[in-house]
Amino acid sequence: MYGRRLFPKPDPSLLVLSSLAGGAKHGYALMKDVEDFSGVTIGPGTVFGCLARLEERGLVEALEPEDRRHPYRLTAAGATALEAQVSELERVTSAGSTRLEATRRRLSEGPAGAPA
Amino acid sequence: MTGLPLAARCALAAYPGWWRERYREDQERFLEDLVHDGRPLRRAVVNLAAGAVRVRLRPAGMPQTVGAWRDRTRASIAWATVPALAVLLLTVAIEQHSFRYSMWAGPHTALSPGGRVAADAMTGIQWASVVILLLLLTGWGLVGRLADRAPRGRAGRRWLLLTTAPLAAGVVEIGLNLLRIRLMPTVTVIGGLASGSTTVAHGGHPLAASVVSVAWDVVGVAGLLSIFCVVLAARNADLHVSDLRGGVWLAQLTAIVLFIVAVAVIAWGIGVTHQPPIPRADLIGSGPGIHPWISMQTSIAAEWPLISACLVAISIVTAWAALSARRSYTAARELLLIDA
Repeated sequence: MYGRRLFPKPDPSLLVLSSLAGGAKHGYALMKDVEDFSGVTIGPGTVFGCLARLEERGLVEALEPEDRRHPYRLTAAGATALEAQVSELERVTSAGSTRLEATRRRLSEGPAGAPA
Repeated sequence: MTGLPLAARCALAAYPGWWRERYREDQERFLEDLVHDGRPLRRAVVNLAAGAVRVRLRPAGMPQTVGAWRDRTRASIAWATVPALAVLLLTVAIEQHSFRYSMWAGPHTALSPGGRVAADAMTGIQWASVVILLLLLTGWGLVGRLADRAPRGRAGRRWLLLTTAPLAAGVVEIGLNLLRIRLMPTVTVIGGLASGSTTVAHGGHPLAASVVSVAWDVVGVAGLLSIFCVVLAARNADLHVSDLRGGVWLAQLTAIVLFIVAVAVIAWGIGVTHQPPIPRADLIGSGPGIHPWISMQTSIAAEWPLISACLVAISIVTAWAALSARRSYTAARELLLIDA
């Protein structure tokens, strides 16, 4: 287990869908946007691999090429899939936040707060 | 595109044809933008190469057309059969090495169970190499049958040259062997086959025979490598999906044989390590009924783990490619039925 990240990086498909939710983008703009909002750098192999998979499932679509590159945009199905994924993550993060707050309070009360 | 370094162009070229048609320009522009922004390309190129492997393993987004799946079947057949050539060269090299540098154990030498396993495994490897050669020849025959659908004109002449390369190499090989036999000095063995025997050479043209022997080896290896020419010829022929049926079977059989070779080499390595050393007095020259395993033990046993690892890796690639060939062929046939 040593050397492995405790929490793996977010799924690239989720990052790509989240980026496209902000508007149509071509590959490089998408990579930069993901880097800006998540701090995660995804390479061209990952970006276009994701776009191919998402396109195959009808979650994103390519627009007419501009300057030798296709912008991609989210489809209605893609928006629904992203919404479902985001609300699932929100449930987890809100439960985590609530419980973290309780733990912080317990820890600030000192050793007396230890479990019986 | 021309401004991109060679490594980037190679990584882009590693993607399958259908992908390049769809995403190549996008990926090129991505790399150009990276360069324009002064960002390092190295990680992007590694990421691209890894992406190419992923796309080849799992063709997500591949168009549902007969042509795309036919091309994937064809590429998978090549991936499943061409590594067999490396295995064949390896087994030939091992046997040649053993013949040149080692003494063999006599027919009455007592072998331990491990030694017997090693001897049987070696016999298996030798037979498997013959089967691999037959499979490669069958593949050559299958490509040769496509002559009526070869390209026309100059491209057709090149196609014919590529397809007949193994035949040309074979004819030259036979000619050189006859010449070599003619030029070689006559050898008289004094004192039998046992260790310490003396040989006397007389007559012939030793230097010319040596030169022809080297040429014979070179043409032999080139003949085996000419299988690549056949693969290239198959790539240029106008193939129908039904033409690939034999190739798919060939890919599966090759995968099975290479798996057997890998298991046999592992068994041989384990066997020889469990055989106690044989007394020097029992070691004699080659001849009928002689255990071949000892030659391997004394010459290349140290390289056994490396050879085994290479064979296992080749076996995995071949098995994956054979599976991919079967699936892609089935997909192409189904799409053909839907089209009909």
